[in-house]
Amino acid sequence: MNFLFAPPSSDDFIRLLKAWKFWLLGAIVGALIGAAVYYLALPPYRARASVNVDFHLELAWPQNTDRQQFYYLEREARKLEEIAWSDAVLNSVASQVNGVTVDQMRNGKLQLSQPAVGGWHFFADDNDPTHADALASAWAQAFAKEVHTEVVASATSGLEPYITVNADQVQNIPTKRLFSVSTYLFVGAVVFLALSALVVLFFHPNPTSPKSK
Amino acid sequence: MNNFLRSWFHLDNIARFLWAAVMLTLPVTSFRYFPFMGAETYVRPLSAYPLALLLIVLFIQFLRDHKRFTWPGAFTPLAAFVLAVLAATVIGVLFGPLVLRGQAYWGRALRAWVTLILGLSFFVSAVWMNRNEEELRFTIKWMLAGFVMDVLWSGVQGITFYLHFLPRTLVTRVQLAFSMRQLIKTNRISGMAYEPAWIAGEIATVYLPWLFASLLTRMRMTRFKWFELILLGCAVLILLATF
Repeated sequence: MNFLFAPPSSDDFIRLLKAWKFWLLGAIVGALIGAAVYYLALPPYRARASVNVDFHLELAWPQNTDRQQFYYLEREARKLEEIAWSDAVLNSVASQVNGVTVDQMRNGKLQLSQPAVGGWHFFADDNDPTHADALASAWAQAFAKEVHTEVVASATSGLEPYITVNADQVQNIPTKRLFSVSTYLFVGAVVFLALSALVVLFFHPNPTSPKSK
Repeated sequence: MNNFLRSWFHLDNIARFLWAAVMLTLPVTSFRYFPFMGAETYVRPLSAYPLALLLIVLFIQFLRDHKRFTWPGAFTPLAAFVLAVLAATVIGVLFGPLVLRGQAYWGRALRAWVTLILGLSFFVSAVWMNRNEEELRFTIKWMLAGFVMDVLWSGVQGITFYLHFLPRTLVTRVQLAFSMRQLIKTNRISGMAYEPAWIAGEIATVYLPWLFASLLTRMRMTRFKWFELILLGCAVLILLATF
């Protein structure tokens, strides 16, 4: 009935190549399914706000010892990351933007992308573009404000006094759908093409039946 | 003369020559002159050049007479794996991954695919260039020749680091002629690989098993019976010098 447990042979590939119409059809069907899924369940919008973070490494760590500099950079970046997800910052966001809880923000609604030194990107996903925009903007501003407060009180907060943060992109920030319809088309086509090829490789109608000969 | 040239340019001989070149150049993991790679890509094996030419030769041979190539059973599950990787790659984009340290999802996926294709090329070539014991002996001979080169260059690095016979700037300049990486600042041996961990990986996964097996089975690749023993000693010394 099938070849799933049959020993592999070069015939597998010949059968796969001969069945090109089947996997091509699979790709077309997959693309159509992808488009249907897109219009049935539209993907959310994603907004991106940016904060410029500078550790002023040349002042904080003047010795030219690259390993220790990397360690310092990583340590301080981790501290700032914790601040970005802290209760103080997220409560501030929740108080500014209605309809979202701290729990939702910590569980996928907000995402942070940071390269240590440079532009820290604050992403917010939501079905409403203005809501996503407001969330990302409020988060970036709350983060910058909190870091500034802790840097001023560096003796007690544990942050290095050389750190500077500027909320540079918090107005009219880029907000667009997370995926375009072409992404769904492409993913659907490739996934179904791969599945069709796997079916041809491992399953086959009864080879003894006259139809399959 | 004509017969000599004709026999030399026979596809079998060209394939053997290219396969020997692949084995010989295996230790150079980060070859400097590689187009379209940019300065940030460190995995750029020199052996990819002869390997690419070898695949063309093998393809021509396959078109001429596909029955001469054995078709190992491993190819079918391998094809299934590649199809699964293809599906996983495109499904991954639906998670909306963020840019990570300047690397976007498609860039990372492309690099992963180049690595996979390179690995598949090595696997297919190794399968088709080792169809009997004589071919396997040929492979191991050239593989060990490549390792001898690696040992010699590691020796030069060792002399520079520990005995100070050679000026460091000169050795660095020579190394930069073929590698992306200058000498390691902390006096660790890296041979012809990008960094010490890579040469240790090469020795542990490629050279050490063959050398050890050669001692256990008493099979020798040359008429010098002590050759593999000395190479095994060198491999252990280099492994220690990578720390």
